[in-house]
Amino acid sequence: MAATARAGVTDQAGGVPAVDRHAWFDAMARDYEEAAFRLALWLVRDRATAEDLVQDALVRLWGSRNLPGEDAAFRNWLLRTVGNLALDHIRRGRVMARLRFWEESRPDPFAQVEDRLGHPKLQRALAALAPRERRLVYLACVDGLPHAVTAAIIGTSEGNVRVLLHRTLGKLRTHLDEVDAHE
Amino acid sequence: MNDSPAPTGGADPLALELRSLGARFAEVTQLSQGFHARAMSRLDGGRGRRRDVMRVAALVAALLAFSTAAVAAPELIRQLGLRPGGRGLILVPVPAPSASPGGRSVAPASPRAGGPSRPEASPAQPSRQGPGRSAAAPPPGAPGSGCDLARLVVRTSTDKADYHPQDTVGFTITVTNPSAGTCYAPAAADTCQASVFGYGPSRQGWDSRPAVCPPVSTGALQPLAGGTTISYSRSWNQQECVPQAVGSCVPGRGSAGDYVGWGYVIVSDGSSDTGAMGPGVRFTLDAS
Repeated sequence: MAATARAGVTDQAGGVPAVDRHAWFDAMARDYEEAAFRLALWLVRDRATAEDLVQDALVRLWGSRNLPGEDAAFRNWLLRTVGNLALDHIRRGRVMARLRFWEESRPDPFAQVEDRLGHPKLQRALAALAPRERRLVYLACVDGLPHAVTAAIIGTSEGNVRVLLHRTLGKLRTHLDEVDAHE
Repeated sequence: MNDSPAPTGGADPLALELRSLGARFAEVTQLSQGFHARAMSRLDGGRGRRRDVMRVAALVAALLAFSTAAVAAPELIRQLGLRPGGRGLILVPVPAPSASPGGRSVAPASPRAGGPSRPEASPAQPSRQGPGRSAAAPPPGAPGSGCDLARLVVRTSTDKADYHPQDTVGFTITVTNPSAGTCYAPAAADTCQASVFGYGPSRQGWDSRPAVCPPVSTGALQPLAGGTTISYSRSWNQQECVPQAVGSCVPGRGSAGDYVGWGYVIVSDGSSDTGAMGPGVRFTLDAS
């Protein structure tokens, strides 16, 4: 279904045919929602929130006048929106945490995911990075996207991605050393 | 656009470890079943700013109705198109005037009978919003009240000690009222307020949207006189999920030792509602 829907799109030289718009969008979303979910989950560490963010991003993309007509553009747009929504969510969470005068006693569901992931030291070091840095490391290193794609998703140049990544991996190594020193 | 893989930095151990972590991350984190259908269904709700305006208008209207106790919380959730257990809305029920038989109040949910500890955002949450209540339920202090919810005994038995993914497991949930007062429980045929629900694999984290009936039931509670017992028979399997399920059943992803379900029932003393749960059964990994 996905291939058929996308064939219709490429026939239109990158534009989205109005007739099959929904079917096409459905197929594209099916292909890329999992990747978007993983990025969101990586950043917000909560399954339900991550799914909500992906859903919000899909609704925004659907409502966009300039719906990207190519696979890569769709994926980049979706990941970019999900990443930005996740960063906004984290920022709002920090503000709310400052305002909150009681402490919610919630179990951390993501802790169980982390248990299954392994690499405990690396996870602790990653947690010490800023959210934007974690997004960069996820896209370029964990998900292994090409730097050009990472650049398109976070909205910067490929050269800048290399510089930022170099610095961020340096910080990550420092955090890893600190984790080692604590043990 | 160049879509060749990103350089891993040669034999850089950190890069390799990050890629390894990424592979594992992709393996253990997957969207819940039904996500795609839910997401697509929301697309048709409207577009852009117009959609936002409509949603805000609906929210204001619904909250006004809720604040005047004209709409029960489950109905409010349904009207707003929200997902039970999802983020975005916290309802704080306001006690209605005592003359209103539809008044809502909150009682803490109480897992019983040695059931496993309940995670945050568990299926007991819908009960906090209160079920629809029949006219048979008296207002607080009226003749016929005097129910002690803390003394209600909820038991769940199953026809299998362990649950195999291809099996259908039968649950029997019983609620016994040992006190002299009359309590309230769902009618035996009410499939929504006395339910069995499935969990995704516990080792992947508690799913905040388990497959419990959505709290939109208008099913009425019936009196449960002192010294009487009511029982509910339900069945569940992981492939089918629960009818009217709103959450994720994840076929084939369980691990040995995971929980797959509890009996869950809403009970009331006529003025406040709570959820009660029996024990779960354990998941047995399908080796085939």
